[in-house]
Amino acid sequence: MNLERAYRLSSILLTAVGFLALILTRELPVGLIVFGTAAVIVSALGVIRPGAWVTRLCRLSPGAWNILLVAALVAFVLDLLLLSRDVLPAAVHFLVVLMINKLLNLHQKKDFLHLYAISLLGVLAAAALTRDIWYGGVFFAYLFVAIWALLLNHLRNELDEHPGDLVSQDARTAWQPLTRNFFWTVNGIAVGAFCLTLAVFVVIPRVGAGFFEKNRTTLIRTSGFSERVDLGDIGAVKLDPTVVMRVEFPDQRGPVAERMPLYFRGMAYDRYDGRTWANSFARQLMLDHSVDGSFKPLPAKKATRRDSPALRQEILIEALDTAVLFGASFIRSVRGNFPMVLADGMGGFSMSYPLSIRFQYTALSIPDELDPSDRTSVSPVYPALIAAHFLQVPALSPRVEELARAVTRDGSTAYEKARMLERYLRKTYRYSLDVGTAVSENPLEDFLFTRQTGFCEHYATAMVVMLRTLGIPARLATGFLPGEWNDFGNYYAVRQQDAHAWVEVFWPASGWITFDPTPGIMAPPANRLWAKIGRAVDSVRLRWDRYVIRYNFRDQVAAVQTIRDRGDRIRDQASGYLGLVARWMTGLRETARQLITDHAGGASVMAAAVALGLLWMAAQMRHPRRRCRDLLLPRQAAAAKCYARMLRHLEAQGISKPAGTTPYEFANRVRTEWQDVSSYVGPLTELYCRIRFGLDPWGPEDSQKADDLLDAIRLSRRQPLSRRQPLNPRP
Amino acid sequence: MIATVPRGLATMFEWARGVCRRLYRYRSLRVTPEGVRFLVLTLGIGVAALNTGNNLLYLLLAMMLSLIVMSGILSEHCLKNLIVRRTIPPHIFAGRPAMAAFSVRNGKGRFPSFSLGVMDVADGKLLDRNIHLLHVPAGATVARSYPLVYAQRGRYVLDGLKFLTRFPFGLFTKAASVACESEVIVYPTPQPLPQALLHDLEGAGYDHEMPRRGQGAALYNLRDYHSEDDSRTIHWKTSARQSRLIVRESEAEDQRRVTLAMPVQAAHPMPAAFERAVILMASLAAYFHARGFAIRVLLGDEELIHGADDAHLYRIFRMLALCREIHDDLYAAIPESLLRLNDISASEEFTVLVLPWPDARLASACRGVGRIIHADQEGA
Repeated sequence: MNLERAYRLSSILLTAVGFLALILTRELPVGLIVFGTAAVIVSALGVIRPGAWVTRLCRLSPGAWNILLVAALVAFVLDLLLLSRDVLPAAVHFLVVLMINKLLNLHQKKDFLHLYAISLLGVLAAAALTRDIWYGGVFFAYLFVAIWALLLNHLRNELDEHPGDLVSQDARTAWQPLTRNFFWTVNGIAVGAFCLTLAVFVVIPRVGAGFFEKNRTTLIRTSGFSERVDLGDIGAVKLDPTVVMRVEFPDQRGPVAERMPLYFRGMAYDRYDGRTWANSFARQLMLDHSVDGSFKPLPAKKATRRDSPALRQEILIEALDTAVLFGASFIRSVRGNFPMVLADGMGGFSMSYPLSIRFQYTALSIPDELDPSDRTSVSPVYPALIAAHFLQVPALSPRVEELARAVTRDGSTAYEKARMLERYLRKTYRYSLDVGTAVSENPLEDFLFTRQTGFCEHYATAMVVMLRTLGIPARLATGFLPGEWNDFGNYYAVRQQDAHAWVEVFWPASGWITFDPTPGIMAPPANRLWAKIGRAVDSVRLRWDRYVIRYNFRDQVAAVQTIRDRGDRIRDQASGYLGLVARWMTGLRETARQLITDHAGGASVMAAAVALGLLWMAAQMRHPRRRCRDLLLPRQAAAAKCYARMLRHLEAQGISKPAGTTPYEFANRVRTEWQDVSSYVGPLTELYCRIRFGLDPWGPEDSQKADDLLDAIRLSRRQPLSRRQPLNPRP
Repeated sequence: MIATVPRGLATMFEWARGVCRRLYRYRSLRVTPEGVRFLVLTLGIGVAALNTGNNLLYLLLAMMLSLIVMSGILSEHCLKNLIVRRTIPPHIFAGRPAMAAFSVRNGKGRFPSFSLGVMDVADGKLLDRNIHLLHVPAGATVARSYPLVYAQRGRYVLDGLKFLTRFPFGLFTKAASVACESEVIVYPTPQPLPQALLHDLEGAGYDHEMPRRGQGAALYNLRDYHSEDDSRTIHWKTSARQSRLIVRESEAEDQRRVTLAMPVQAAHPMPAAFERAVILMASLAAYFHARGFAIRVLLGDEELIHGADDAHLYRIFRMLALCREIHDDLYAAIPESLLRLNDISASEEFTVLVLPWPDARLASACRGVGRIIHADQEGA
């Protein structure tokens, strides 16, 4: 491929990458996508197959293009005022029109520069419109192609400015610099530029406060986390695979849910009126910052559970339409970039308002643990507050209580009864999201006695109500199940479909303990390969978000701190090694001193031997030539090297120096046989003899002179014998 | 041992100086118009990134900055390890183009150099030779020649070469100076002598041949054989005719000699006249050399003894190229070398005195000279 074609194609490809970035933002209407793609294809065809009918078809006069551009400008104004009503989308539409115009009118050098600017603006606009991971791939492709395009643009301009450098007059088509070496060299440059880009990206200080950034994120609609929840609300999202959060456990290895029950708790509800759950403890208290920067409520006056090891989670939560902060049961504290954190009376944490961006926080949870006394207690005694709020039962038929008593007839302790109810609900009722469209008068009784099918809310509500009829305090909790474990990133990807409702039962000594009467659902067998690819992509997406999108000043400080800590460790290690060496040297010195003291005669001999050795070395250094009898001094070696080169050049021209000939004799011979070069050979011979056999130094001017003479000899050509004129013409 | 210490220090100093010279390379950097636009765009993206705090804009900013850095690295790579040799023709005449040549060897083992513009540097000024090397492969040598034209005679120094490149992206022009000092001696250009002077010289010059014995080919004399004579010089024909041994004596080849003289001291600056005289001297030297004369030149107090080969002629040209007019307000005494002209003429050697300007006193003092030429009158 010749330079001109490669240059045009790379420019079109660069534009195509910028256009692709705009397409992936989903801000372009279909018509613009179609026209833009067609323009890219037509312009590429015009390079690959000049004169193709398609390219001729798209050739319009400059006047026509000007009219189209004016129309596009009017359309931009209308778009800005009436359609998009936003500068950025309207500008993007207009940019695409400009791109189409330029692609179909690439004639002059400035047209290509305009095209580069348009492509860069496209990538710039995409950066403002998206945060998705695909931008990373597009960015890398853009950088790669930009290196090629800019480099080829430079070479092409150089050829235009200096066509006389080439032998061929048809410079652009004749010269083909796109050799294999050139190809891999440019690719290497692109890779180097990418690495340098990453390094600069990490180092640039982050001081932006995001003042002028318009938030274009769409909030994910959740269900089941408001102050009032209708029975069946959670069912609305049970089929939505949208990821709502990703949870890492930095202090744990492997999937935590395989070792302990794991529920990401959001809200809890105490009052049930037969259709709707409500939180009568909704009044929220603002939490203070503790010393370590976390938000935690004041400890309860009476400890209600043992201190289990805390479970630390790093939660990356999407932009949800709820302000609730989720965490594994039961959250003790949260830490993050929150302006304010609120807590309700039932252990729920929330922000003051939903954040419309993805953000990360750390939650510290204490898993529940049943106290042995609660396990064996027949009739636990509950605090008055608990009894007042968590034994409330709506107006129900007596069948519910009868069912509860019948199921727990054989249970002697409250704990056994709770477990019996849990097992009964799991085994007896069928899980289904299809609970009919008709609004039920009494959804709980429908679930228990009529349909006998339902989903998590029905199971949990049934268990809470039946426990309350037995005098055991319980409440409904909503949140999320752990979801899918991503072994690439070691985190749980929690989706909308993982929304769940379960039961919390109160015990006097243990506090609230989690029960889950909903039976486990076997997910349909998924394609393993696709599932694996999906997890890998999600893991990369998480890393992209963490280390690119949300990379901030604190990360930079942490990186510097890490480097400094490692440097300190290395320094300490080096100090340790040096100390070891110093101690060893001290021991050696002591040993030597001991030897000298004990063996005074031997020390004298040794000292005499050392002195003799030093004298011998000094004697050698006084007569360097004796020591270096067979070696030349550097200046002599340099002169000899030049002379040897001259001899080689002359030998190549048919004049050899016999071994027994002195340099001057040889120079005379050269003067006889090749007069043209004798004016160079003579001075060089003289220079050589002066340096080699004399005491003159070999300076830079001598070196330059020798090089010049050698070049002159090298460039001289001896004429063949037949053409040489005889030295002494015959009279 | 003590003597080796300063020698060791000197060696170490030389080594350190060489290292510093290698490390330090004179570089200059200018921004091209495309580079200005690029920098403005980079600045705009930087401001946008700072304002919004958008990390993707920071990513774009990092890309732009890395392109700038890569541009600097690659252009430096292009310019480094270029070994230059310049070859100047040994004899250059004023006003006549001479082809100089230089070769550039790319000393890098793997990477080529691109887009090298080459300029001469003389007296701190850049001389554009319109030489552009688009591609110098790794390890390869590229040679170019270019015309050198000097309007006036004299000594010129080419300090070195300057390489410029806009590789890789055309955003910046980086220049590197390579020391490659060359001295150029520009000779005065001999001009055809006026016809009247030619006739005059032709008549005067041959009359002043002084035949003498020597090792030439031409016959000088026939005489009787002496015992110490070489038997190979016996002229047998004449010996047969005269019935006694006759030997042949040859005439010396270099018996034709001329002395060219010119004063350089002047009471007042007269550069144009001086230049005319110098050119006339060069023309006369070329004329006599072409006719096989051994030429001696007296230029003010400088003297160049007789010689007849081409090298001697170029020595004469060099002497004329470097001569300078001496302004002596207290000019009174005639230079000793010019006063010897009369003695030289007395020894029957042809002498020519070229006067750049009218000088009656000098002309009177040298009235024994074979020929006095007034350069201003000859129109040389």
